[in-house]
Amino acid sequence: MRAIRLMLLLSLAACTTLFSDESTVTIYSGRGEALVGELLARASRETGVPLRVQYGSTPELVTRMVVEADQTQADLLFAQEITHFQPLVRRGMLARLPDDLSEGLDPRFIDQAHHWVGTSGRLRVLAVNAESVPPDARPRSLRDLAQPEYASKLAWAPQNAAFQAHVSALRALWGHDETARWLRQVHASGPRTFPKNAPIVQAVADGVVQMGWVNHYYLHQSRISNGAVVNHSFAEGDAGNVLLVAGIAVREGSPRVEGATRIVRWLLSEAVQESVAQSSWEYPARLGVPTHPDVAPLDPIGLADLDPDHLSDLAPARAMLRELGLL
Amino acid sequence: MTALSIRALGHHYGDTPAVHEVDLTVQPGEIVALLGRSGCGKTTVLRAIAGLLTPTRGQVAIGGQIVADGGRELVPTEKRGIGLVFQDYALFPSLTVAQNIAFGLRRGDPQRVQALLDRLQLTELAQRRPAQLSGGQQQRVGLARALAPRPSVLLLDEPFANLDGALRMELGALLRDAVAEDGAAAVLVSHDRADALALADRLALMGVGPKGGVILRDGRPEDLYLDPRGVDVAQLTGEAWFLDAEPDDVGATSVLGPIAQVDGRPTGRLCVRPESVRFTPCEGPARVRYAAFQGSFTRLVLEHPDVEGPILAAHGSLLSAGSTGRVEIARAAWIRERIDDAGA
Amino acid sequence: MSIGVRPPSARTVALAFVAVGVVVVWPALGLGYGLFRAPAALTSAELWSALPLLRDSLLLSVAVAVSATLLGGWLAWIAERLRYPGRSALALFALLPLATPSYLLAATFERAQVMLLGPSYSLRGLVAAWLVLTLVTAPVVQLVVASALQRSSANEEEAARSLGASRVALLRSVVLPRVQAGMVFGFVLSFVYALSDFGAVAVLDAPVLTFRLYQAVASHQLGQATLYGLLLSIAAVPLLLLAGRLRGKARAGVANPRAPARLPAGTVEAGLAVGTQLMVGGLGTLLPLVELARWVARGLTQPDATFASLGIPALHTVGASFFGAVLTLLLALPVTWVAARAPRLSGIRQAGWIASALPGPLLAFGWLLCALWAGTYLGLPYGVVMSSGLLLLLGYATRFLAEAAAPLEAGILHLDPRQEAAARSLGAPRSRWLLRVVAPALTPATGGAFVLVFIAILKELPVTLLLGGPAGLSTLAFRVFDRYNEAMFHDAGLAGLILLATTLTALLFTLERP
Repeated sequence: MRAIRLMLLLSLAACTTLFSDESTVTIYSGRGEALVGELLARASRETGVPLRVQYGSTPELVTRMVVEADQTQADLLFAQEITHFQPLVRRGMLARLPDDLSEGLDPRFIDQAHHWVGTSGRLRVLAVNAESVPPDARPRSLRDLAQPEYASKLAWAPQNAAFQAHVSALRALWGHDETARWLRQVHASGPRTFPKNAPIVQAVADGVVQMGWVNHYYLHQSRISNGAVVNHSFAEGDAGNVLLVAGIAVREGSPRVEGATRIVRWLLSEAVQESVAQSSWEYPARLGVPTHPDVAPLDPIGLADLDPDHLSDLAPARAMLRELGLL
Repeated sequence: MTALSIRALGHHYGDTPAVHEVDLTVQPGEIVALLGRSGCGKTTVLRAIAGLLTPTRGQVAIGGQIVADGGRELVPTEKRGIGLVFQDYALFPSLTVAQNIAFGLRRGDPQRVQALLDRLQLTELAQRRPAQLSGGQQQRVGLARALAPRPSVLLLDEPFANLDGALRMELGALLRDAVAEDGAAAVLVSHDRADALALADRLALMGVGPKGGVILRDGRPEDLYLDPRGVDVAQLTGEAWFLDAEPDDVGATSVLGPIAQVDGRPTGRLCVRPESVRFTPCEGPARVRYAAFQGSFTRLVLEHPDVEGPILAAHGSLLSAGSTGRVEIARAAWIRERIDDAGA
Repeated sequence: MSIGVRPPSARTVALAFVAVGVVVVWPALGLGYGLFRAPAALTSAELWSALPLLRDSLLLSVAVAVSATLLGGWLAWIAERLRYPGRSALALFALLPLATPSYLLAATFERAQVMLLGPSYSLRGLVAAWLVLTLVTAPVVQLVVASALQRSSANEEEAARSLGASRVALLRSVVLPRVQAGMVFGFVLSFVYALSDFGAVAVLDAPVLTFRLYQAVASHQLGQATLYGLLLSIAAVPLLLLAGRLRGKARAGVANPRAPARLPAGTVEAGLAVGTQLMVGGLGTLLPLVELARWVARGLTQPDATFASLGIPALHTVGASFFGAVLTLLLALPVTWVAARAPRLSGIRQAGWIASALPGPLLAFGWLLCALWAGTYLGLPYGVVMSSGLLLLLGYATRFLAEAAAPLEAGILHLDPRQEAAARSLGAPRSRWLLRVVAPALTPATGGAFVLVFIAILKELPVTLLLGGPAGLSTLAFRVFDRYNEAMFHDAGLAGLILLATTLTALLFTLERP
């Protein structure tokens, strides 16, 4: 009897998701629920646009959209890295956004063709164990990591999309051969390989490794006790200082463009940008919005001089990693 | 009407022949025992009647309706109106005694269940499960379950093999009553002649021929016992020994003297049953090699200088090995090596 | 009278083929359709570079299957046949790792090494993955073999013992033939589990072919991923065929088996038994529990760490697992029945095994493509098919058919054919026999299969993510994955604890029943 009641209850719960009205905007979110779950709920509340969210990893969701083609349910794609938009751009699956949308944004977050727009950024850094790697012993350039004294203390995550995006940037900055040589040298010294960034920061904190090549915000999110790990950026303009941009795009042919665009506009509004910067430690896309006080401001760091388009396709970087035996 | 009739039944498993040209009819209320050594095909016959296999040749008819013919199954097991009783009971462990009995009944028919519970003395156990019953009790449930839907043919596969003497008698009596009351025909498969002789109205004796199991003889137990005609029938129906003899105008004459009552057509060789042998202790030529006290009688194995092989006898009082005496034969039957020889 | 089992009716066979068609052929057709739409080929360079990975995949899976079968067989034997203090509680304890997702165990295994052995040393790669996967699959073998042991009669074993047979001789000549089918099922289950696992090998950095497959999916090269999947399953086929052969001629059990007297365990033997059980349960369940609790505790001490509500994920998780397990069982029943009773059609079993050996995302994409195809050519609106949730449940069925089939087949093989003959002769409708005799007899096996699948779905991620409908089923496993990704260990820990608590409850609830 109890089982029957439970079944009824569960079928009811299933039905509620079945019937949602035509105006509901579906968003494929490659950004995690932990990161954007509440933000999207707020977006729906404040814009009045009903939202359904399908989470997943960005590459998988993009693959899914490519496969689903014109039958896809997605109206919006929220990507962890703007690089992932490329296959969709190539297939003409992304709508052109209104020009005014990018007004007042940091140019690093703007697509010249207006197929997508950046919403926030994460900085590639070297998370170092503060105690065992004193400030004067930290490498000044990413290139230095090829030296065995550093490489043997390093942890990295070649399967991670951020890692691959950075390698893609290195190819643009250094050229293919140089990047391959550097990777081979680091690899030869036997750095520890992890599947994800988060456990790398933890491993640095635990002293399993001394430094990890990761994104800046893992340090803040993992709430590692004060000062045990610090984010180290390289010298001004170094190829190690790369900003990875998360972005959003509207699907070409979506019948709900209007609602979808409203969500995008909301995400880029000053108030939202400010709260995102404060709650998620990320770099805001809008100029003039302050970063979180714990996060090092972007400008003094001096990013590598990189055209966002050079981050556009991960395939050659992946092929390179595969050839080197890193994938 | 004939309850069961089998005509020219033949079956082979792949290339291995199992039974050949088997004919058998059973009337309502009759108990027929299929008796034979293991491997003679009696189980195959039973399975063919039950519909658990389709015989490759011949015909099976139940209650006048042909259920299998020439290698085709015409009526499946569940529609044949048969009851099956197994050596190891095969009760449904998840059901109570009453539920087991009611299994084959439309809407459970509580009156029929109660009647069977009463008749097989199971009323007290109605709510128990098979695991809580003794072997004898389980077999009574098995019998009640098979009888419940009033089958026209009841098939029993070594039903008493797992039970001891007293229980056999009791269950045998219950089976007789039940069959008589319901008018079912029963076919009992056994390799134990005591069971078969005691229970059956008729025996069908099976042996192995060149093309598989065949029915050697079919008849009333006492007829087959007293006039077996063939050595194999004689041995299947009881203990026997054999002796050369000449027919005379009264009966027969042998090295052991005249025999007054002799059955069958003369052949030159006699089959003698132990109870027809009279042993008189004295200074005689015969000597007791073994003596086995059986309670009501003593089983003797004797040797005699003029007789080849042992002489089997039953004696009324206690004797011991080494005693000597005289041997006389009261009754015997003419016999041949094989039934086929006798049939001529 | 010896009674052979009755071959399945034409209707049952048809049903089985429909079931296999649904769960195996459709997603395969979907992948085929995808391949056809976007033809992919493996260049010889890619193929050559994939071969060492494939070799390691097979090596790891075979190693896991062998060790899990040995360990699980030993665990079942000591739980069912040895006598020593505390054995029933310990046997249960050793089964608990069934509830632990492999990725969770792998993650905690890593952390535990750091804590116990210091930061400089830790075991990773293939060896570590082998250890972790053995721990999570051995209890499956234990469960299947133990049920075979429970259904075999005491007489043979006691006869052998009365003849003075040594334990080795007893095992080899009496016990092993009885449990052979169960051991082979256990072997296959752990083999396909290890072959298709991604969580543990990813966390422990063991280079296997599933890596390459995932990368291909991530680079939108579904065709290539399909080819890798094909490579994986083709490589698995000979082993699965061999396993099907080794299954042996399973003998029917007895209707009311009597358990044989337990063998008294000597000090060494008892010590070894207790030691293994403590080790398996401790490493496989206690350790992850403690580690997760530590994550949560650390979150509690931080004033700004908040915990997200788990109500909805818990409801989604239990709902999806329940319905998924029901459908999987419904489809597995006719397939298993036919595989067990019609030797000539037993290939149907291997089809289920091969489907279960494919990694989750590939299967999920297979279903997705199938739905798209139906949308294009059959006019079934893709959106409706997707959001109905049916696709998700079918995805689970494909993924876990083998998991459901193993205990079911063991149960079906043990049905007493004489009972069926008796039921038929009584003229009762077949449904009455199925409901009142077969169903109760199969209850333990069905319950076991249900729990195995229920737990497997609770732990499952890729299929849930891809087929969970546009509403996105938010399950506990997803929560763990999501929060762990974002380094929110306290939240991941809480979701993990609830997940483990749910799986453990389901497990204990079933195991406790007589």
